[in-house]
Amino acid sequence: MKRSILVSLLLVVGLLITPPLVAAEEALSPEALEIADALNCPVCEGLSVRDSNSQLSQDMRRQIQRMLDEGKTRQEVLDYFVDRYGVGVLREPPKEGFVLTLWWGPVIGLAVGVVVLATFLRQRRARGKRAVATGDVDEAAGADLQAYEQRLLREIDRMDAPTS
Amino acid sequence: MAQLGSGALIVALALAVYGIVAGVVGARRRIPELVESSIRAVWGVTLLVLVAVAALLTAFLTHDYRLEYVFGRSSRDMPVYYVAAAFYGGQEGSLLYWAMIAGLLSSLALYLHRKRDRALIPYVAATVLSVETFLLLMLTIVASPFTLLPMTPPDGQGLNPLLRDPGMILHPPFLLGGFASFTVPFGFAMAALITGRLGDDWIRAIRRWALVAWGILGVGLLFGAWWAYHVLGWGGYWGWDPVENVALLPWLTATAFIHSIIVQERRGMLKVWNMALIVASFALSVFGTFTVRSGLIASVHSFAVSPIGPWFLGYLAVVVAVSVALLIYRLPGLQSDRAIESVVSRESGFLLNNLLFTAMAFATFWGTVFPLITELVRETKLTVGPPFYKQVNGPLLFAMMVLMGVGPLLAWRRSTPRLLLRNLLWPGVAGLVAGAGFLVLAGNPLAAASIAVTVFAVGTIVLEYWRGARVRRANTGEPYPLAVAMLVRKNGRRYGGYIVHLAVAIMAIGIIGSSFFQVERQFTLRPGESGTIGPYTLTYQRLDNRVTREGQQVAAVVDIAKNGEPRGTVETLRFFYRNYENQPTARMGIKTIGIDDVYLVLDQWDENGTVGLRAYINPMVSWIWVGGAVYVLGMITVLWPAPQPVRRGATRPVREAVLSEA
Repeated sequence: MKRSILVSLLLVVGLLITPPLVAAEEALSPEALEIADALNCPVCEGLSVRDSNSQLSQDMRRQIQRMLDEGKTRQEVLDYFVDRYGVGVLREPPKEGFVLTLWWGPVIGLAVGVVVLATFLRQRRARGKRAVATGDVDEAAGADLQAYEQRLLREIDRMDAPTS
Repeated sequence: MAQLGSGALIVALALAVYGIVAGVVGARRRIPELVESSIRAVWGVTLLVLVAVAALLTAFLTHDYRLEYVFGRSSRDMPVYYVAAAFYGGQEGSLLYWAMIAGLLSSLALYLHRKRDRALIPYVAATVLSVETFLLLMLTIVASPFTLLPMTPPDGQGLNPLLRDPGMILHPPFLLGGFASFTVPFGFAMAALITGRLGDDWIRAIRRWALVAWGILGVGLLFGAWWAYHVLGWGGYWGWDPVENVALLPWLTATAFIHSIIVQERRGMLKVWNMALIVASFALSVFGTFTVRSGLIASVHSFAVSPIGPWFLGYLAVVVAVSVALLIYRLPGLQSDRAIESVVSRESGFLLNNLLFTAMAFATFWGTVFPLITELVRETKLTVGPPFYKQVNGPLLFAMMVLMGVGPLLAWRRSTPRLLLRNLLWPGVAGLVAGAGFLVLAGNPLAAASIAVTVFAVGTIVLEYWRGARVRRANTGEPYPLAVAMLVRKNGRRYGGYIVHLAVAIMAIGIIGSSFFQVERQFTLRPGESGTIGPYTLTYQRLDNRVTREGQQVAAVVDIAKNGEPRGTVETLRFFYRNYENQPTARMGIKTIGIDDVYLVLDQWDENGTVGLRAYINPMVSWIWVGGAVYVLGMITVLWPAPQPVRRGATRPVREAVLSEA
């Protein structure tokens, strides 16, 4: 789980000799925090601007707050960063164009799975119908709790034994 | 040391190749001596790998910086446990560790199964040795940990700071060990496919080993989450980072497998599917191993940096191609013995479980590799972050929880809807009451629904235990506590499985609490000042600047009080290690008070001692770790050898060797 969060803290290196000195002032509005959380720190791996400690992320957080204070909307702020850093700066890829394949991929996968499963069940049942005539259906008979408990008893009795 | 180590690896490589030939020829020509010699080859290879491991460890502990690997990953100022842990801190050591675990478990498996599964054994040995051959080939020609430097440097560079944490001593060995353990079930699957003995033998053998691998990998993932929570400092434990995702993938397919294998055992169905799942788990483990260390996913371009990438990709292609070819070849032999009789049955419950787990594995895989695709096809860099996984995997997890509640109450073959509904009544009521109560208290519908399904699932488990205990009591006259204990003891598989379900529910509560109700605040404080978050008052005492053997630490000392009552002091730390000053790491100040974790991150500081602190309240996170402990308990219960089945009244031949059965 490599996560070199802190690549860009080069500045701090210089500060190491004397104890590090960074302006500790940083007050962000909840909206600014939310936007920072939607942006990817461009110099880290997998951290949002909100969570990252890199110098760039600090600058970006301040920029977000400044833009909000100027009355810009959330979308305008996001667009500004997309213009500068490319669409990769968004943590949630936009649901448009080629990226739609990302969003539809799992849905299609699940749909294919459901279809396969349904076909499998129908085929099996068609074949099963014939088997039922000859097979012994013991569990279906009783419909009350006593039957259930008997079944349970049978099951726990043979569960750990190798089935024949 | 270097000569000894690399020598051992070369001999091991030759022995592995010999063992493959011996196993295959021995099985074909029916020469038991050759088969035996192939088994011994596995033991020999394992022994030689152990020699190499010992050589590398010795080199680390004696600070033999002539070795490039040791030089790059350790230094004299590191504490001895980190020096030892540096062993798997890089690509080469990780591979060696992989080879060791795969060798050890395979040796054990061969030892236990060599009498019972005589027909499968030569091919198990050959498959395992082919895996070892690949690893040893990598270890000798591409990524040798025993490469020497032209001179001996006086001191090493030290270990990557992120790895210098207690969590890192535990996380990589379990995760890599989990990956490596899939070698054994894979070996049995291949052997079954090659020999065409697709009956019950291989299932019996494989189930237990698949459970071992699944359990170890799960523990590895949990340690990873724990480490991330304590070190990375974004208040979370799982970031849907590509590297985390690839580690999750084999665990998901293995979870599907350990459920669907029960269907095959009981009903003789899903044979092809189970084979495919076990092959997929192994292939994904290989994929995971090489993604973690090659940097493939972060960017396509870093691919060239690691010489090992193309080799692994090639090996992966071979594994998949051979497995698929064998599967297709054996398709006729993998026909189901029986048919599904009803959609409302335990069988279809398991099928649905498999659908959900594979869907989640697919979605996670898709999100992880998608940036790779866009970069190749569109040349745009894209980030697939947590929002994608939350939106896609969230609903799947929800459905899994519902199924976890319903599934155990379904009968094999067919369930009468009336009885099923009756069984679902009380857990359902409990879930609804809990959900409604939660909605009133916290007012978050999504969280309330999640709580409802979790309580519902727990209700089912309680019901199953109660029913089982009652049946036992009625039959044996045992008091309830003893009946429950005997139930678990005698039916470890079933009731141990429920313990794992319970662990999942406990973790689910932790995940619901921390993802829906996390509170965050930022403070800028001078010494002596305090800030409040929720009911907690944080009083910043002072900034400590400490010089340690390994470098420098900056610690902010903070007193925590809840509703004015002091609850203790925490330190939130930053570390600057020598040679890695530009990669400071951290350890969060975490204080668990009741259900809340008060989580402090030291962001910034200046020479006056003014600090920028980020504080989180993470409710219920500690439940995740408790759930982890319960998961281990359940896993051990499932794996624990069942007592010999003694039937009430009925006389049956006593079965032998229980260890390999359950």
